[in-house]
Amino acid sequence: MKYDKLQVGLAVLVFAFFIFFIVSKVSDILDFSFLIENKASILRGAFNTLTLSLVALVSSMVLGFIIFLMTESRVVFFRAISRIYKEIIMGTPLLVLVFVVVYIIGVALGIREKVFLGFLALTLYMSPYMTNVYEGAYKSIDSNQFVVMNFYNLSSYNKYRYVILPQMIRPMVPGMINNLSGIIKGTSILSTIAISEIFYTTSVLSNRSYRYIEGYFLLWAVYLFITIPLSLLAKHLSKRETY
Amino acid sequence: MNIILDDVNKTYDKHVLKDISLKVHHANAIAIIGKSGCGKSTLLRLLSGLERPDSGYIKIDETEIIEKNIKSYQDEIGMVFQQHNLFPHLSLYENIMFILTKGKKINKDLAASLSKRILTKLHLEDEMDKKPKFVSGGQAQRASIARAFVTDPKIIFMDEPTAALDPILTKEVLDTVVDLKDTGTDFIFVTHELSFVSDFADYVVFMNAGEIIEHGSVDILRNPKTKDLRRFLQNERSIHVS
Repeated sequence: MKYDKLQVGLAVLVFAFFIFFIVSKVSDILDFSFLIENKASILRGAFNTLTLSLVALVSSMVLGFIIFLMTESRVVFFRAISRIYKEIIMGTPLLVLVFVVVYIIGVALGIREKVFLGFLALTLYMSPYMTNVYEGAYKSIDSNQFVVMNFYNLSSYNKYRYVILPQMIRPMVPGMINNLSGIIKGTSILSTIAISEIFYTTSVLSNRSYRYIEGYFLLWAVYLFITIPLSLLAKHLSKRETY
Repeated sequence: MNIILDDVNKTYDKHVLKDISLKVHHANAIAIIGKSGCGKSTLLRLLSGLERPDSGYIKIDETEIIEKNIKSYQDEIGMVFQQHNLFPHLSLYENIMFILTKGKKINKDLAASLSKRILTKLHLEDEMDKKPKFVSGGQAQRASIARAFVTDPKIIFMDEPTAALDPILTKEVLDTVVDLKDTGTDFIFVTHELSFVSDFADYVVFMNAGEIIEHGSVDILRNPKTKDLRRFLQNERSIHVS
């Protein structure tokens, strides 16, 4: 117990040393000045990434919840729809889904707005993972509570509004935060369709100055700066007491 | 209460209830006893309408327990489970209020006064604002009895309500049930507490391996006619003595 923190510190040092080693090997050729000169567009890119991620988080939560309700439906048709949807989306890599949405579905429906289509692709991609989070939280509710609810003839609305959803929130939060982290990383794929989030912005700047290493360093740092605190928060919340 | 069972069968992975037939007239507290796995909890679940038999006929008082009658029937009965089964995110008071306002559609003011009255009657007035996790197992089970009782049911079904409790908390809960005996509500319950059966029940049904072996007034506990009941009583008493 006494040496636990020391060992954690040592583990952090191992990674710090590795990063320092890598940086020292390339330090003589590193020049971050072009990034500093363009910090406004980089910040805008980071802001776009966060905005897009948060909007996609909310929309995938909504769509994921609809799929979850269909999964729990008594109607076989709805259950089948949700299952087929989950299998298709979860079997498709995000990069492929982005191209399918932009260049096939978008073209078929006559939609050309790339930001919207990119956002739509992210939403579709994350929604089954959101459904999984809802399902996990739903299953954490003791089955005896459902016996009681059925015995007292509660309506579906009252079951969800007063019993099921309030108990789902706590176990759901860590999974949601992990999914947000997944969305933020997923936004980098949208650079392939020229949406100016952080990955795209940095790539353009790197291409212009031929300074790719610095660009990738920056991207690495920005993604870790956002995702590690989220991951730590999720771990902290998952350790909190449940009912 | 009157009960008629005729050739009732229920099968899960195995045949749990085998051609059960029974007629009971004018009983106020019926105890169903027997070894673990003999089918007594299943019988209680069929009687309370929580599950349906595969075949057979069940009638309690004037109500035949069939699909179309279940909702109205369950509206008139109460149920106490092995675990307290209270909603963990609600206080004891909110648990009862929720059932009254959302399940029974009683207006808030009346529900509040009924909830407070029943919790006070069961000596839970100091605990009513606590969540189930923060009260003892006995207090939580008493709150679940309060929840079953507050709707003024004709019959209360209890499925081993003290199975999860230690002997002190068991006594606390059973004393609470005894206090409710003269309220006009009838009881059907499954238990291993034979002394409670002797004191509280006026009719006893003994089951073994999915069949009713012996039934009758509580006297059958003192003068069992069948070898199975005799052996069961000896075993139970030796467990309690040791």
